[in-house]
Amino acid sequence: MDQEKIGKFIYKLRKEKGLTQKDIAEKLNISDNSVSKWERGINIPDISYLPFLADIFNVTVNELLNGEYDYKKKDKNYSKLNKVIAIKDLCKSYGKKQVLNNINLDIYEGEIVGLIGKNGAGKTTLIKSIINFCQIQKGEIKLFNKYISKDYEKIMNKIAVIIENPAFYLNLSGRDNIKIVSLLNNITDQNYIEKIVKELNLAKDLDKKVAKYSLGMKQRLGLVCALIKKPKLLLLDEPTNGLDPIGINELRMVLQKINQKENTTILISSHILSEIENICDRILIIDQGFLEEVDVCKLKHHHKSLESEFLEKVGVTDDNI
Amino acid sequence: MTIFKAIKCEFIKNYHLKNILIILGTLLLSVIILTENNIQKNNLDETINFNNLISINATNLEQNKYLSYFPLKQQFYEFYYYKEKEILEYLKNDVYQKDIINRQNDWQYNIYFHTILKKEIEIYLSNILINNRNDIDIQNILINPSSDLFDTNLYLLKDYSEKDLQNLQKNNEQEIKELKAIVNSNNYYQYYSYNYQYDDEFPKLQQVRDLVLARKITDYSNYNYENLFMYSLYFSHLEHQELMPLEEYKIMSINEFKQSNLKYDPSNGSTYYSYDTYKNSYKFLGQNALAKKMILEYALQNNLPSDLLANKDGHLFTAKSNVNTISKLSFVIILLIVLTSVNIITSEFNKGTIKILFTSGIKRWKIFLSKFLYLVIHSYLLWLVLFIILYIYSGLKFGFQDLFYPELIFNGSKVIELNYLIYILIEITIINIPVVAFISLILLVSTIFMNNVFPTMFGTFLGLITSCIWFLINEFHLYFLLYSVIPYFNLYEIISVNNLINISNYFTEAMRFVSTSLDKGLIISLLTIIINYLIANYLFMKKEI
Repeated sequence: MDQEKIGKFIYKLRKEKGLTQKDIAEKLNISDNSVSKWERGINIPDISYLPFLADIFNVTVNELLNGEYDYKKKDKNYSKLNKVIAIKDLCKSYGKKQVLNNINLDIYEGEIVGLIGKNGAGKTTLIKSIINFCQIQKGEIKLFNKYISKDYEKIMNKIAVIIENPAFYLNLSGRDNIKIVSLLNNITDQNYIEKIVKELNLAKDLDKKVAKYSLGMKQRLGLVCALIKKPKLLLLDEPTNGLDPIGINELRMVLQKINQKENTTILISSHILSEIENICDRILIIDQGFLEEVDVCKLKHHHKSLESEFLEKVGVTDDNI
Repeated sequence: MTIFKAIKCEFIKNYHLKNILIILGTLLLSVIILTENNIQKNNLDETINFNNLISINATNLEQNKYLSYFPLKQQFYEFYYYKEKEILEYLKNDVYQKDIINRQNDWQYNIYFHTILKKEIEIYLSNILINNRNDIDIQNILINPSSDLFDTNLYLLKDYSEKDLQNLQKNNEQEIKELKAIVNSNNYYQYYSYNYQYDDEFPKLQQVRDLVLARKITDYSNYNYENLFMYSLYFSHLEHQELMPLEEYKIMSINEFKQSNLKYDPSNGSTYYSYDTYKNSYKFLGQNALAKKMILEYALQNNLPSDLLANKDGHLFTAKSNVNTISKLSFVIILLIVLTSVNIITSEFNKGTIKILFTSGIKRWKIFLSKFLYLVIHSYLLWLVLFIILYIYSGLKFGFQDLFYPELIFNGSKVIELNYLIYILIEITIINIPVVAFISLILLVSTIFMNNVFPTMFGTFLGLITSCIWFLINEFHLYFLLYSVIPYFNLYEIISVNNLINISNYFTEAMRFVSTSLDKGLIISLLTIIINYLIANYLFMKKEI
């Protein structure tokens, strides 16, 4: 067991909960110093304290001992879960170019599904087709067991989307942009909006014009606009574009948090394979319009990286680079 | 409710400080230019307002320097002040009044109203003057020797002998007799010549009468009392003694005219129109003549101001006159609208912000409708702000008092007083309907092309030509445009009754070609709005992102 890793994890969990060392000590009836030693990696909590700690931080004992969240090991019984996205025989072409070829996909409530593929493989088109941003030639798409064309308003109220780089009204401030999104989506809980803004570190820049925002700030503003809807389904198309490592880390934490707490279903496409590997329950590869699921267990068994699996699937070898 | 929220979002997006300042600056500049142009156009050495009119009374007739600007008022006070009630009774009991509803479009009505009535009043007044000739006060009264109630050539009564007045009476009586004979004989002759102007030359009365009587018609079966409106006006300009060559006149019966293939040919100064056009255009003019008469009477009875009281060439220009020219600025509103409406669809797609709208759960047709309604509200707001600026600027320039008098409207049966602010708001509402048609056209073009350049150029070009569209139609014979909405983008020319007096030549010519009217303009505008909106909405719904 990695004491330092466990200690950092406990520190992180405590901070997320907004608790002091004293609070933890009081709950466990121990001294502040003990908690401090855990966090500094000097020693690990006694086995008798682990269940209580896990309860305080809302994690499993296993996760405490591993020093990290254990999402991929969630044991989901899909037959008991609701289908959020159900795609059947989806075909989409732009002119003569067939972009999506008989795609079949089911995504269940609470899942985080990763979508990877080459540039132009059809990731964005798939996401756009799901929310009716483009016309499909063939196939059936159901969201929350309903056709989007029939219950458009009800379905879209549960969905938040970030496609490519989020677009904003550049002549307005971040606050005004959020105001517009709130108005259009009937969001009135100002406290929740402020909480999200704070979590994504955008509070001090909110009154500046969006034209002056950096790419990272715009991505964060896009996330704010998506998350204030309290969506049941979050569709993210390359949300890490332009984000530095700190930003990517923050994004991951936010996504994991909302997935855990709100049971939000997330479909995320990205080129950063490590991030996909870290947070996703399932990973899909899309290539030449065809969709295939990556067998993560098989990868682990053969000690193979996702990157090599991806390159193999898309037909890129050392010979043909 | 979602539509209202979407409209509110449009206001948040577009109504920020920079845009508001640009709009206000543009409107203020337009108002200043319009006002200065109005002052210059009217050759105003000094501005006259209705307070000056109201100040004229029987005790200060000679001293009041504003008298010459209000000839009818002047004559009423000079000749009618003590006899006003009798004169008004006379007007009310005149022969044509009894049948006025049926015959208001009748050419006979026009001759009676414009010529016979005036001459009968003058005979009546001449009697008063002759009988009171020794009265010192009467001697100093000014008299109009040309027998035209609307003329302003004035001379002192004492310079005229009794014989002069008797001759005047006699001439009038003879003229009345002859005119009544023409009217009662039912001999109708369609007469076309040229656009009449005050400076143009008119035939002698005798010549015209000879021409008319020489073409007596025996078959009356097709008569429907077409008007000799032009005749009545010619008769009133007796001082124009120049002779016109007879061959320049064409006189024909109605049947002949109906069958003729005469075409518009301005090169020789002549204009010919289809029978139906002529009939329709004079129907319009006849209705307006009645409206003017009724408003005039009402204004005099109630001592209220009206532009009709002023000399047509006069210098009356009040704050109200200036505000009433608001519709001349419709092309400014249209240009401001072009800059707003072009971007409202295209920039959302080009910048990607349309995703914010499409992911909001609001149906696409509601999004499009909210954008359209925003533009409609925006256009009305522009008019309102323009009106406020013009109102305040006019008041500061010419005095605020005139702006508080009501506007007199003839509703077909009686004259009503309408609060001036409400009158302007109604006028703005009507004038804005073609502007909304313009908006729908721009929306359609920008939805088709999905870029800003072409719609902006198209819209700007269309907005600029609306101010001279009637000239273009006549100059280049683009009469087919009269069946489209383009000429109606500027409804000013059509709805302004006062403008009938100053109506421009090219407008009358085109108006005679097709019976252009307020009703037609509004119907065409509404149809344009519906068709353009439906097509643009369909295209918007089908757009892929």
